[in-house]
Amino acid sequence: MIEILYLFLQIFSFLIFFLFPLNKNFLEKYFNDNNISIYDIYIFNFIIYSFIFLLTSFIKIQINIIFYTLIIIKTLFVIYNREKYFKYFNNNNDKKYFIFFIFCLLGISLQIASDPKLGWDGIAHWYYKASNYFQNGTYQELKDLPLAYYPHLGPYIWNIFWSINPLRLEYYGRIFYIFIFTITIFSASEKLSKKITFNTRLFITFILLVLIFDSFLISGYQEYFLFYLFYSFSLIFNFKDETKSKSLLIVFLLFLSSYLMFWVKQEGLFYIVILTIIFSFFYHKRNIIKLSYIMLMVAIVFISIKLKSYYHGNFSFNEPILNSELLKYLDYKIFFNTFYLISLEIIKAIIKYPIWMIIILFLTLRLIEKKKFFNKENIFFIIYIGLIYCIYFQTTMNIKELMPLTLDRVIFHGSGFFLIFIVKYLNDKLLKNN
Amino acid sequence: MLVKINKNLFFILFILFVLHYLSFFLNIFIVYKNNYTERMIKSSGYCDREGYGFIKYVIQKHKILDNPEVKNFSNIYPPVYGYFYDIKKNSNSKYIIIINAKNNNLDYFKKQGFLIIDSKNNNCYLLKKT
Repeated sequence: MIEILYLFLQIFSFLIFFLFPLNKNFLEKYFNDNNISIYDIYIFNFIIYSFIFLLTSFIKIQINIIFYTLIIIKTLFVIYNREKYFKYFNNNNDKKYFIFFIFCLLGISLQIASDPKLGWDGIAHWYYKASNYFQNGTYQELKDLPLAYYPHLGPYIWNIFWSINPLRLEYYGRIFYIFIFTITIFSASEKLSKKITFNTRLFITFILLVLIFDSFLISGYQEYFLFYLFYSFSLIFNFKDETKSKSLLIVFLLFLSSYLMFWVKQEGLFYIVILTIIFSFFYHKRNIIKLSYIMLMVAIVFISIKLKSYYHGNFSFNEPILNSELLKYLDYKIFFNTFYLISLEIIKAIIKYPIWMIIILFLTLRLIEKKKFFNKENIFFIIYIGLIYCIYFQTTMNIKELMPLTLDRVIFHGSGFFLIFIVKYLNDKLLKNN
Repeated sequence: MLVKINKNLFFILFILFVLHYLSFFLNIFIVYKNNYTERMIKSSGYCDREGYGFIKYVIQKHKILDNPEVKNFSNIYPPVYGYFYDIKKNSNSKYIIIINAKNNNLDYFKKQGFLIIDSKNNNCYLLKKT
């Protein structure tokens, strides 16, 4: 029973901890938007904390003492200002929606409590990093562990929430993946128009949850973290589009949500390139901002690569990006056969994560209706799918063995980018029918 | 009044449906009835599958002071030694734990000069290099 009690406390600590530092009043004023939900606040604050956690991961620090202190201060602050926090919920339906959110969070968290086993990559790669920090190891000591060149931010945050729990059971740390997954779904669903009935909104939220949730991905994998960061980027971009805000905070949050990917998974570096292209094409016309953004991104990624090389001796991927085997594709038979195999596996992955069927359906319908091709979703879709082809064309490994194990997860990451688009498209359709 | 009750009733039924879908009550029961180790053994096996239970048992019983190598002869399961890996301990251990081992696997280690220190179910062993 004590385990269940601590699970509730862990979730409570998430709900309180990530209410700060950005709050509703500040964000509404800064973004000039009155529709910022509590889930958006969690999304923004988690980005900021992830960046802080990234910085603390390089130094030896007793983070749990700081965490306990902050939790106590924040809880007292929320109790003292409870009236202000109740205003986060405009009406009864908002409160019900939050209750639904908490039950979903609890329900999914209990799934890892009842079966805490880690998946293959979870135990063979990521757990070692989390465990290193849990045993007071440093960033430097990661180099003695398996796959040292893999990024460490996910396992570091996993370690923080693992070590703050008095029972010190590993799975408590992984609840943060569930937290970011749930706030992503609810933040997106909350964008459904208030003119749509509450029950329909509940139903759509549940459908999204069912279509996107995969219990395998909470067994120590980093996929939900990347999914969340893709969503964050598109959410912030959406605020920019809707409010026409030129706030630098928006640029800063966009910057962080893409930069953090570098420290989550190796693919992150390529995702940064894609999101930077999206930023440079679709951010407003102030070229000085675009140019500064790109230059700063290149500089910070370069520094990060140097930092990794400094601590771990070198910066590498699973295999070199350019290799002599690429020349084999000059034979068109090999090229088309590989193309066919990758396409087949992409179709399988789309069936596995049916949210992609909805994405493709809505993108096609919009293209037919509006006949406007140049928008961020279409461009992202093309570059993203193009990247997947490049990855599997480039590898020297046997793709027939590699793809069934990895491609579905790579496909999954990108779906986060389209959640806002799905919800906005649904809004258009449902309101038109009403 | 009746409409309000109906609205809340729908919401409560919906929540119950979602909780049932997420196996909420079943999972509470499982967590309540079995402690962490029991749940881990249920999903990762004792001497079968990943052999979590046996690894935990020998490390505790024999007070092994370094990080022994773990070899699982069924390669469809991930190597679970990570759960017990201690960054402060030496990794060049004299001990080796073998899981899902068959007689020929065991013979191989015997020929290499390993002694059986502990075993269970005739398929998982703690061996020590002499």
